[in-house]
Amino acid sequence: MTPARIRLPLAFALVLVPASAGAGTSAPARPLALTAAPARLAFRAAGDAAVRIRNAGTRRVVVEAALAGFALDLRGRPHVVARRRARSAAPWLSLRPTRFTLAPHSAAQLRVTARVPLRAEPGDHDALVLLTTRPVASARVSVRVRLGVVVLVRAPGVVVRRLELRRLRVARRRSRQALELIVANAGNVTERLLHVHAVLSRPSTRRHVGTVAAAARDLRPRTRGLFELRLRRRLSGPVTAQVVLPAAPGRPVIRRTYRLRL
Amino acid sequence: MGSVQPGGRYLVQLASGTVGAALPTPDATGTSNLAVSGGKVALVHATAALLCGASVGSCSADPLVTDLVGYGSATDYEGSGAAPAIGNTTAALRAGDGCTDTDANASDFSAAAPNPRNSAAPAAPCSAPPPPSGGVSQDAPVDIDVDSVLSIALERPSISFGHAAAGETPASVSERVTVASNHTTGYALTVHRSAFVPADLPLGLSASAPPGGQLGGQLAGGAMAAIPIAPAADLLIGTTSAPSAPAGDGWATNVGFVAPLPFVTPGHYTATVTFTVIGR
Repeated sequence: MTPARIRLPLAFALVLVPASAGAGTSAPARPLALTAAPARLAFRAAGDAAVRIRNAGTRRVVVEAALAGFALDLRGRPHVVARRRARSAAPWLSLRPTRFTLAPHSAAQLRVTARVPLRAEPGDHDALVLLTTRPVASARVSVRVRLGVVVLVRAPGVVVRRLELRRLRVARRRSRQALELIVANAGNVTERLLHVHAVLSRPSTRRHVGTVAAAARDLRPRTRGLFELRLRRRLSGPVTAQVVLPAAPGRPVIRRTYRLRL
Repeated sequence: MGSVQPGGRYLVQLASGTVGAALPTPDATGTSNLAVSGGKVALVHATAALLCGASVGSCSADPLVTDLVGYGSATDYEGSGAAPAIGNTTAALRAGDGCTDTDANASDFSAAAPNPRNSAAPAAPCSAPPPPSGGVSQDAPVDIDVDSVLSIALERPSISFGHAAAGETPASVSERVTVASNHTTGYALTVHRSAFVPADLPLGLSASAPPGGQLGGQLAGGAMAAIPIAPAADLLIGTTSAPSAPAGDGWATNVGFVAPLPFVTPGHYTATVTFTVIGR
């Protein structure tokens, strides 16, 4: 994870629906459109930051801000969890204001303040700031939107970085082959894993038969993640897979060799 | 062998006769004696001797050659012709104060009075226009932090299924959700709802993913899945693993009913559907 830095953002909402940059075309006006920038906040211990929230729709909207817990599932998909789960930063954060009304094409600032307790466990803790629009009264099925701004707070103390390559297995789906790699983050900080890949070769001849890579994703501390490495062409038989986690600042490259049968 | 800073010069003094003005302090020296009638000078990123140059295009095609000028009667040069011949009082100067490089020696160079400069000369980066002659210029660094952005837009703020009777399955209504995110790891789009009041009805959703998006497992193949009622876990509509399109990713969803309407009391039934987007 890149070093956190408190900053008051120049909040260029690069995509304002419908004010998008197309080649000579403009997106249709939407009645309900909400934008938040920045969409991720990072604090080192205590601090303040502002999130600029813009109503890019054509209707007046009431937005409510609330804190929630945040987690990534095994495949890196984020979801809302209880505020007071382990390593949640939600109890350390406060929001101001918690409700505001935005006219069409207007914006407001939400101030997020972090105060880390003295005895907080060192390392990264996360939370979500949920920005939810109020539903339209009297509508039959009212529709509303909710934006989640991810907040990472790094509590002071010793930073431990430890990634472990665990199981690698072959996943057979109807139309494609993939390798599924489990990586464990036994450290206390979030790791951004880029360019995780495996070099495949025949064990008998060491002939290279392919290189497969996984999409980039974050791995929260004390969690495991599943990385899917899709094969571009069908392979069969025994292969040796050398899995590589490229080096990052503060972390050396990690390699492990597996033997598989495709 | 040496290095040149952006917009800088590097002066190499080669063999010389006994006449002529003194050069500025050279950055390097050599003993080669360039011929007046013609020759080749190559900039290479290796120390091994070049084996090319006997024919047109042989050196310019060598991957070790960064730049090449052939002048006068040279047998190799960039482009269709060599730079003009030079003499004791002229040098081959690159146009644009050294910035013009179209890989055509004949037009990029001209013979003119020498103007030797070494690494101590003021830098003149080619990305910026050269300062006017006789003028004074000053660099002013500019920086900006571009923030991550997340946005969500809906086609409709409310959905009405009109009138329907128990046992009927009302037609679905489209609800296009547009999500924009410039974060490198993408986002997840989910949905949940409140229970219908005064009695719950089996509301569901089907969807198709935009290019680069991956549909949630329960919605694969265009299936309509029940929308969970909070606080149950959201239904995953889909995810992406990269920044969205500049105008946003369009998730075409249809809100409808997964089963015929149950035998409930007639009346006005309302609920709220919430689409949530979170960066990954």
